Amino acid sequence: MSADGWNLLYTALIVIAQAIAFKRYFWDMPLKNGLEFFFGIEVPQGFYEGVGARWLRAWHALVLSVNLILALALAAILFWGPWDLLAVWAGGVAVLHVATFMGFRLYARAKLGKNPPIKASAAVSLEPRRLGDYFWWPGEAIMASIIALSWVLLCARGDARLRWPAPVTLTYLIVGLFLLEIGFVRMSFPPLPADRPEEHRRWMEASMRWSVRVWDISRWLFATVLAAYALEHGWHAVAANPWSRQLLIGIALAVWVSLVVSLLRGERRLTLMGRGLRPAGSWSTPFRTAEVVPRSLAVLFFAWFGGLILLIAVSLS
Amino acid sequence: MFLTVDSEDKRPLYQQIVDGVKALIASGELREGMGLPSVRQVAGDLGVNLNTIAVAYRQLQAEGLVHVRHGAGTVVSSRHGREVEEEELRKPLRSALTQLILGGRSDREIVTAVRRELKLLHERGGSR
Repeated sequence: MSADGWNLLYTALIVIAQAIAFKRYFWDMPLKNGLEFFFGIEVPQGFYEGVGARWLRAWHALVLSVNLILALALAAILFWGPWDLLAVWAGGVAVLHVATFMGFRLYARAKLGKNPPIKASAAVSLEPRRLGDYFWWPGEAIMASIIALSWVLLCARGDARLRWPAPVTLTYLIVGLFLLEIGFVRMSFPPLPADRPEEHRRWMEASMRWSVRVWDISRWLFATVLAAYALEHGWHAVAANPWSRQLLIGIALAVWVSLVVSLLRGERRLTLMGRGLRPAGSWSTPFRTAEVVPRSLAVLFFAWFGGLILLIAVSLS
Repeated sequence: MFLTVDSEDKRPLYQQIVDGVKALIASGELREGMGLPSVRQVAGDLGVNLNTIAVAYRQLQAEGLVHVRHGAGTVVSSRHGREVEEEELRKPLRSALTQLILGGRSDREIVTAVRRELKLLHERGGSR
């Protein structure tokens, strides 16, 4: 198959995966806890016949706009190239989705979830949570080595086409996501309802593991893109051989596909597990207010995302 | 394994935690050598001050039910805790019995209630 043929194959793969994710994951995301909730916020009966319909429309408009932007970017790569940007595009998908959807969710919570129900009693799990239960340290060491070697290659043998904002942004993404993951694991669980606490705890544990896994794969995706960039700009044999470039793009896309698969499978499992359970963070106790994410984590996330926007702006200017 | 706290309970929060951990140890759900979560984790999950949980853990430590092991955090020491005078053990029992009598329960009802609670405690931990 020619190089263009491979590229078209990759693009077709992306479009299919994106279409499945769009339909099965994103479109009905606010309704995954049932019609009594909107993004885990308890709503009154008849909500979706009134105000709720507007909220749903706003959500659908956001999902459509994000996907439209991504589709236009993909079309631009398809028609004008360069094809290497496919891998960067794949990373952009993850960042754009997480940022816009988290923003929408926080906005919905601020507007609709001002007065969550308050329950007098709450349960707390006595299972200790440790970072080592969620991170595989040898894997982290391998990733750190890949990043370090990529930088050594770029610093020692980087060619004239090398643009420093690219590796800087990728490294920033990886390190930032790692810090966010640590914050996420260390952050507190929302309170557990006193009835069926074990089922709620299991759901929250599974949800935490799933999120960490998705973020892990995202980091691997960026690490792969960084390594590919370093090889292309620091190892002339790779840059000269179109097949090796195809291989690198292929590896990055394989990681991206595994990200989408993990996202969909995990979401499906969590939806099944969460049936009939009160969504986490949908109620308050006298000791703790309901929240989507702890404030400190939200601040960390937006600081990281702001830094990312700044880096992109600097690299474009 | 869970602790349940209730804002409508008249006991202070730290006492509810102490009593909850004791019940788990007594029922055998928390066994010797098992680790308890850090003060930070429990305080964060419940949304209460770190001090509240620290006071509860200190009390459990003072009673010999848990100890702090370097690198492992707070660990359950033993099911029985330190040696306590028989009279000291009887005090809370006497107080609870008084409450039940004042609440109009007959001796038979009290004995039945005590048996039921004991049975529940054993069933919960599958012990003894």
